[in-house]
Amino acid sequence: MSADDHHDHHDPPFWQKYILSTDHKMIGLQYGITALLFLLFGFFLMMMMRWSIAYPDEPVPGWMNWVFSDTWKGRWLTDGKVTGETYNMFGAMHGTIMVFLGVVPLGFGAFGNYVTPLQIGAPDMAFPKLNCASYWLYAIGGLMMCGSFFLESGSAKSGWTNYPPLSAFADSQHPNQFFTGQTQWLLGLVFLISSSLLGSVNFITTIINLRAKGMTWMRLPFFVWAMLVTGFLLLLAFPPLEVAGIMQVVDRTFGSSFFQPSGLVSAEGIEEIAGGGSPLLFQHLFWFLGHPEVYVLLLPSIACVAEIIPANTRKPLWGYKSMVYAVIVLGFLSFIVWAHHMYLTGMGSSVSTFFQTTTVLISIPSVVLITSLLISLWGGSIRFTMPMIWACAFLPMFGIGGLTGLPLAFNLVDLHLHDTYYVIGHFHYVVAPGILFGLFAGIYYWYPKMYGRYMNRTLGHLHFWPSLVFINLVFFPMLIQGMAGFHRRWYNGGDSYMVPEGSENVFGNTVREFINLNELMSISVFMLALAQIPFIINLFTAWKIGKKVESDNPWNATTLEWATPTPPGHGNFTFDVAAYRGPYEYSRPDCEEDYYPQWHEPKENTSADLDAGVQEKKEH
Amino acid sequence: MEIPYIVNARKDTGLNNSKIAIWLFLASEVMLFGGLFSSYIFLRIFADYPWPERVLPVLPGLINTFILIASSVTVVYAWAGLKLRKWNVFAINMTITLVCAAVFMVFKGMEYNAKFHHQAVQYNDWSVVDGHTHYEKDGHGGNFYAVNADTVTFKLASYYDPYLEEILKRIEDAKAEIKIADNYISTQVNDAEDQFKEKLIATKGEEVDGDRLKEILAEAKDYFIEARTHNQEVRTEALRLAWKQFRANKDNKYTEFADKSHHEPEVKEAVNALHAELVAANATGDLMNTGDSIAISLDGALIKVDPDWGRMNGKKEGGESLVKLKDSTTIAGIAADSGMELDVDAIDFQHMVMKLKEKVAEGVEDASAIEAAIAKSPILNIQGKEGDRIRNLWKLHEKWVDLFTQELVEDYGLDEDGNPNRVPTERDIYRLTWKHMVAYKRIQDNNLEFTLAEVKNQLPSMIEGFVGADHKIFNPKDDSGKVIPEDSHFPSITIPREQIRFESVFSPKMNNYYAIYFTITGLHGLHVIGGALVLAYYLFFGRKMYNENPEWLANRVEVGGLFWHFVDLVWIFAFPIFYLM
Repeated sequence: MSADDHHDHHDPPFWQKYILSTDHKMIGLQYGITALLFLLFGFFLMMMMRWSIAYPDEPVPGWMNWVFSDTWKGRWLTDGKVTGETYNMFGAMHGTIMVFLGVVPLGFGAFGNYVTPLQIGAPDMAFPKLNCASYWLYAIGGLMMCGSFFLESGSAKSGWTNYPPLSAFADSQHPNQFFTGQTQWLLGLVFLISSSLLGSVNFITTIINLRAKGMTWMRLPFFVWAMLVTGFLLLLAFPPLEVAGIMQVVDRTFGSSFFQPSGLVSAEGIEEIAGGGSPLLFQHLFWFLGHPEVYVLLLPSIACVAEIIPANTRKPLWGYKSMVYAVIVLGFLSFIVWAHHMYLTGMGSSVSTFFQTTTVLISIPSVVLITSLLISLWGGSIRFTMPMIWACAFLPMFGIGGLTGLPLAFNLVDLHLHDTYYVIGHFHYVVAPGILFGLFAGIYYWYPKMYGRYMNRTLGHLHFWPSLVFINLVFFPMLIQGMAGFHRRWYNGGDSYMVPEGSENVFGNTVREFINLNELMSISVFMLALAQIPFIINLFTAWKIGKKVESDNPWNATTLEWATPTPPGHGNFTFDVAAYRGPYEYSRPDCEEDYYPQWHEPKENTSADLDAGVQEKKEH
Repeated sequence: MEIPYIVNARKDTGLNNSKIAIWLFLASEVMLFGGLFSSYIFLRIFADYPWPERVLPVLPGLINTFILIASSVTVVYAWAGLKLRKWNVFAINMTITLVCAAVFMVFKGMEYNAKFHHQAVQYNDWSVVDGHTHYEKDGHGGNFYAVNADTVTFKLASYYDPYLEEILKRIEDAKAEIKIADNYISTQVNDAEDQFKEKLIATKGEEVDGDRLKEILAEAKDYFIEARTHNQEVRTEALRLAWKQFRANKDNKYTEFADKSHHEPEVKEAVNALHAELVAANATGDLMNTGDSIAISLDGALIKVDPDWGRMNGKKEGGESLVKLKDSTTIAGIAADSGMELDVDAIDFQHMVMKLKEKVAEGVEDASAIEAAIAKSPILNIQGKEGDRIRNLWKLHEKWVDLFTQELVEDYGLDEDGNPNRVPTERDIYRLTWKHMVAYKRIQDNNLEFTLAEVKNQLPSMIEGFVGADHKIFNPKDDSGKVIPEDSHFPSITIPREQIRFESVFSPKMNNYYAIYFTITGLHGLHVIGGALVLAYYLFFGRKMYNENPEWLANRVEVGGLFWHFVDLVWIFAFPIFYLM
C-alpha cells in the first residue's frame, strides 16, 4: 500500500525530500506545518493583546510572555504591562500573520497543493520547481516580518492594513530604514506576493492543462473549481498591493511622498517632505487586494467543506453546477467591492453607493454556496465523522459571519460601526469559527490519505466542543461591544474612557456598562488556547499511533485523490487514471454500493458516462 | 514521473504548460503596471502643485523607445531562427536583442545620473530655482546643516555608528577637543554585600579622543540596556506584588474596593500608589542607575551634517540652534553658515503663482499680487553681479513672453469677447528654462536681434542637452574665440538656509511626478534586466538543449519573447506619459 511498493526509484537525499522538495504533496505539508506554526504564533500575540485588554494595569503573566527575552521585555513592556506601542506591534503582526502567513498558506498552499493535483488526476503540479520556490519565498517573507520583532525599532505597528500617513511616520526616526519593522514588513510582503504569484500561475496552469483523461470541466470536484478561482484572485488582486508596497518602500527609503499629503505635521513640526500625495490612494490599492483576499481565505475552506459533506451524507453535492457558477461570479464580483472598506474616508456618496450596490450583489453567490451546502445535508444519511462535525459547525458559524457583514455593507450603518469591535467580531466570525473550522475539517478529512492513519476521535471531540463554545464566547461579545461603540484598536480595552460611577459622561457610562465583557472574552481566549492542545497532540501522535486505514479510500469517497496509494508516492497514481463520471456520484440507484468513484471503469462501454476523451483512449 | 505537455500542446486546450503560464504571468504584470499607471493618474489628477509637464529630455527616451521596439523585432527573428533550426540566425538576433537591452539601460543610467546631480531649491515664498550645487571645497559648498557645536548628546539605546563616525571626523577636521560633559555612573545590584558597587564609566571634564569616546559609548550602552532590563524586572515584580497585596486586602486597607472592577479608576489609583511604595522600598530588589545619554562639550567646533539625517530646530543661521538627528543624537550650538551655493539653470514661479491664484480666486488677494510677488521674490533680488545676470535673464524672458503672446494673437486671433484664442501656458510664462537662458545669452553676446525666431534659432539642440542642463555649452566667447571666464557658467548664487522651504535633488523626494517616474521606469528597468538575463541564458546555455530538443528551446524563447514584448509595451505607455504629456 505504501508508495515504495509501486515505485522502485531510490529515495532522494534528506534535503531534497524534505527541504527543497518539488513534490506537490511534500510542499503541501511544508506549507501546512509552517502555516500552523504561524497560526500558533499569531494566536500567542493575540493572547498578549487580550491580556492587555482585560487587565491593562497588570503585568503579563510569566506563562504567557516567556517567549520574549528579558532584554526584549525591558525594551517593550512597561512594568511588565503591554504598552500602546507594543500592542500596536502585536495587533499589526497578529493580523498580518493570521491572514498572509496562516490562513491563506494553510488553505491555498497546503490543501491546494496536496489535493488539487490528486483530484484532477495529475502526476504533480505543472511546474514543480516553481512550487518549491513559491514555498521558500513564503517562508522567507514570513520570517522577515516576524524577525523584525527583535530589531531596535520593533516590528510593524500600523495595523495589518498599514495605512499611511501613520505607517509612514512609524519607525521613520530610524537612520537605517532597511532595518526597521515597517520596511521589513513591506519587503516581506513583496516576498509573499511573489510567492503567491508563482503559486497561482502554477495552480491555474495545472488545472487547465494537467487534468486526467475524461476529467472535463463539469467533472472537476468543487474543490478544484474553488482553487481555480482562488488562483485567479491571487494572480490579479495581489499586484496592486505590491504596487502600494513598493511605493511605500520608496516613500520610506527615498523620501518621496506618494501617500503623504501637503502640510503634514508631526510632533517634530512640519514634515520636511514634498507632500502632494494621497493616503486615499494607498487605501484603494490596499483594498483592491484586501477584498479579494477575503475570498482567497474563504474559498479553500468552503472547498474542503464541499468535499466533506457529500462523502459524509452519502449523497451528491446539491446544486453542484450552480455552486460552480456562483464561485465564478463571486470571483468576478470580489474585484469591484473593495471600497466598502472605505465608506468613512469621504470618497463621495456616489462612489459609496456604487460599492454598496456591488457589495449587496456579492452576497447572492455567497448565499448560493452556503445554501447549497446546507441543502446538501437534507435527506442524507449523515455520518458524524470528525471532519463532518467540523464541517457542520462551519455552516452556522460562517452564516453568522456573513449575516453580521450585511449591516456593514450599507454605508449609513457602517458610519456607526466602522472601526468598532463589531467589525472585528464580524470578520473573526468569518475567519476563525468559519474558515478555520472548515480547514480543521479538511485536516481531519485528508489526514488518513497523508499518513495512512486516522486522527484520534476522542482527542478530536476534546478539540471540537471546547473550541466551538469558547470561540463563540470570544467573538459574540465583540458584536455587542462594537454596537456600543468600542473602538477596535484600544490597547487597554476602553480602560482610559472609564468614568467613576454616577458620572454624566455618556460614553464613559457606556464603556462602564460593557467593559467587563473584556474579561469574559479574554478568559475564553485562554480556554480556547487550551482546547487546541488535544489537536496538537493528535496531529503529531496520530501519525504513529492512529488507527490504520482499512483501504486507500477510507471514507468511501468518489474523487480521484482516493484512487492513489496511501500515502501517494512520487507521481501519485499507479495506474493510468481517468475520470468516467462526475465527482459526487453517491447513492446511485443503479449501483450496488452507495458510491461510484470517478475512476471506476463502467462495466458497459455504452454507458452515458463515457466522454469523447475516454473513448479515444479506448480506440488506441 | 514526467510532467505532460512541457513541449507539446495538449490537444483540447491547444497550449503547452509554459504558454499558459506566461500569459497568466503577463496578466498579473498587467495588473502590476496597471496599478502603477492608475496611481500616476490619481497622483496627477489630485496634485496640489504644478505637475511638471514635458520636463524630461525627450531624445534619450525616444531613442530608447526605438531600441526596445527593434529588440522586440529581433527577438521574434531569433525565435523564428530556432523554428527553422538555424542556430546562427537565432544567435545573431538574440545577441542584437541583448545589445539593445544593454544600450537601453545605459541611456537610462545617464538620465538617472543627470537627475541625481541636479538640485532644486524652493524658497519660502514657493518660488523655485534649479541648478547644480558646488561640491564641498575649502569649507564652502555642499549641502549641510552647519553648527558651531557646544554640546553633542548621544542617546545610548539608539546612537547610530555612521553618524557618530561622521561627527568624530568633523571634530577631528576642526581640531577640537572633546570633553565629557557629565559623569556617567553604572551601579550594580545590591546582592551579597550591603553596598552598591559603583563605577564611573565616563568622568566629567575628561578629555577623550574619538576612539575613547566610542569605547565609552559602547560600554555605557551595554550597561544601560542591562540596567533597563533589570529595572523593568524589578518594577514588574513589584507591580505583581502590588496586585497580590491589593487583592488579598493587605492590612485591611482595601476593604472599600472589595466589589469593584479592576477597571475602576480608583482601583487603579490605589494599586499604582502601592506599586510606587513597593518600588521605593526596594521590595522586589534594588534599581540600577539608568542615565540614557552621554553628552560631550566641544567648544564651538564646526560640525556639518547631511540635512537628510535630521532636522534643524531654532535659528538656521547665526543664532542658537539644535540639530536633532534621526538616531536622537542632538547637536546644540550656534548655527553656522550653511547656505547652498548653486549655479542656477532654471527659475520657476509656477508653484508660487498657483498658490497666489487660489488666493485671488478666493478674493483674498488682488490680481496684481502675482506680479508684485515675483518682483519681490528673493531670486530676483540678489545683490551683485550674479544677481544682475539673473535679473537680466528674467527681463529678457518677460520680453520673450510678450512677443510670444503677440504671436499667438496674430496666429490664432481673438474670440467674440476680444480675448485671445490662445495664450502662453503657465509654464511658458513662469518658468525660465536653461535652454532659454542659453538662447538669450547667445543673442546678447552676439548682439543679435531679440525675436522669437532668433530665440528659437539659438536654443541648444536636442543633442546639446541630451540628458538635461549642460554646463559645458554655456560658454560665451570673446572676439578671439576665448571663453570669457566669469561668464562661463550659469549665474552662481548662495541661498541662505533660512530662505529655503524645501530642497532636493531630482530624486523621488523632489515631488510625486519624479517619484512615480523613478518608480515606474525603475521597475521597468528591472524587468528589462530580468528579461535580458533570461534571454542571455537561452543564448549562452541553450546550445545543449538545441541539440537535444530544439522545439523545447524554441518554446522557451517564445515565452521569453512574449515577456520581452510586454516589457516593450510598458515602455510604450511610460514614454508618452512621462516625456511627452
